[in-house]
Amino acid sequence: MSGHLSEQHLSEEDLILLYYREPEARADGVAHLQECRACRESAKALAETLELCSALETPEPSVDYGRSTWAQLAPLLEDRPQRRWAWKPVWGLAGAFAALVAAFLIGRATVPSRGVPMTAGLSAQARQRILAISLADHLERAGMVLTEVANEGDPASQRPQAEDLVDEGRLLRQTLAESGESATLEIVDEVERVLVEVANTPDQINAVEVRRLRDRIDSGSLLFKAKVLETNLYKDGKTI
Amino acid sequence: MRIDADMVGQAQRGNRDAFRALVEEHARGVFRLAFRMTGNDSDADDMVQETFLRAWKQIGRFDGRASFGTWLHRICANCSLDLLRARKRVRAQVFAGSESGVEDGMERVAAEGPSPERLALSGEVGEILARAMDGLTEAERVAFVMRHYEGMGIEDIARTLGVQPGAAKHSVFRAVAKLRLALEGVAR
Ligand SMILES: [Zn+2]
Repeated sequence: MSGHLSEQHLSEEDLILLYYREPEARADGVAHLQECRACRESAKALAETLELCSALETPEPSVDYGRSTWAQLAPLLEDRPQRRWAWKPVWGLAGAFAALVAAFLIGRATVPSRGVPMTAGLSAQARQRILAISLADHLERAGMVLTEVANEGDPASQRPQAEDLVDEGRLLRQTLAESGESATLEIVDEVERVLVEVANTPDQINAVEVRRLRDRIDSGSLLFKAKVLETNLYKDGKTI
Repeated sequence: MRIDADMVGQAQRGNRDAFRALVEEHARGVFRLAFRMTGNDSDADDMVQETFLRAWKQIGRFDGRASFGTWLHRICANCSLDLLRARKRVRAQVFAGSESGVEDGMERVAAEGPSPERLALSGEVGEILARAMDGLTEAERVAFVMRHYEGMGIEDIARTLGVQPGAAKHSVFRAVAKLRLALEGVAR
């Protein structure tokens, strides 16, 4: 081998940095490649693979993709940018309405986090199964929060769990709406509305407000309906 | 881009029409990135929506150091990272379910055939590559897509992912190593 050949061969990692022309790539890399056949072969093999990756096709969005994106997006944008949604207590007369608005905004303004059914790419049957089980799991945990509140628990202590559940309920409801399961969606919505109220419980909550919240949980036997639905969903999850 | 700069300024003052112009200008590019990150078009559509929602909320913080397009792509990378993590959690749940005997057929979920989007890729190689990309961890996938398809430098990727440059670099290394393994034999 010739005398001015840089001493060390290039590692796979050196070659990757060189390929991408990263500033921290070995300074003598190019010179070494010119003189070292073995490293040149390795570089060629690496480049072939990476060029193959470049051939990964993506579907070409239609020319009016921008317009249709805006059409979906526009109703979800708050009026002024940068005004973050504040966690204001939504108690009181306007509570129900505010809770709905909050559910809407929270739903649209945050990214999916826990337990979300990312079922794209699966068969319809697999989607149904995952949706059923995710929903049942969601309802089970929601039931625990609501039961706690209904049983003399301090609503404020359930706030973090309720916030998580509201967050998580978003895509579930969206998926339900898309699959046209309106009866299920109705119950999930009902649960969601009360969860939003719990999530927005102020630190200082008076007895009247607590009673009102418990009444809401009791009204229309929400817990019972949620429980029946949960059980059925677990069953569906197993048998679909 | 000059037009972008004007539009961004107006959008920062709350002008929805200006923001609309930016959405219409950049949606397709964001979609392509989102597709590479998520591997299917319905998730990619979701990521496009989420990217622009976040962009509108955070547009006051855009300082013009990068181009607006680059800034959007960084947001999209972050959204995608969140989604890939959530997806992994769901998979974990599904497997946990099958283990405890909830559902014996659940294993099949992960082994379902390729989606229609996949089949639309460039035949066999596209399929192998798409599967290999799915086999990457979320950090590896995001780092590789940003490095390889977006031409972003390691420093930039690290900032976007909120990790040290060394970690971002190793994510790229591991991604390349896994992809090479998957594509062995195809490349020659
Ligand atoms: Zn060498």
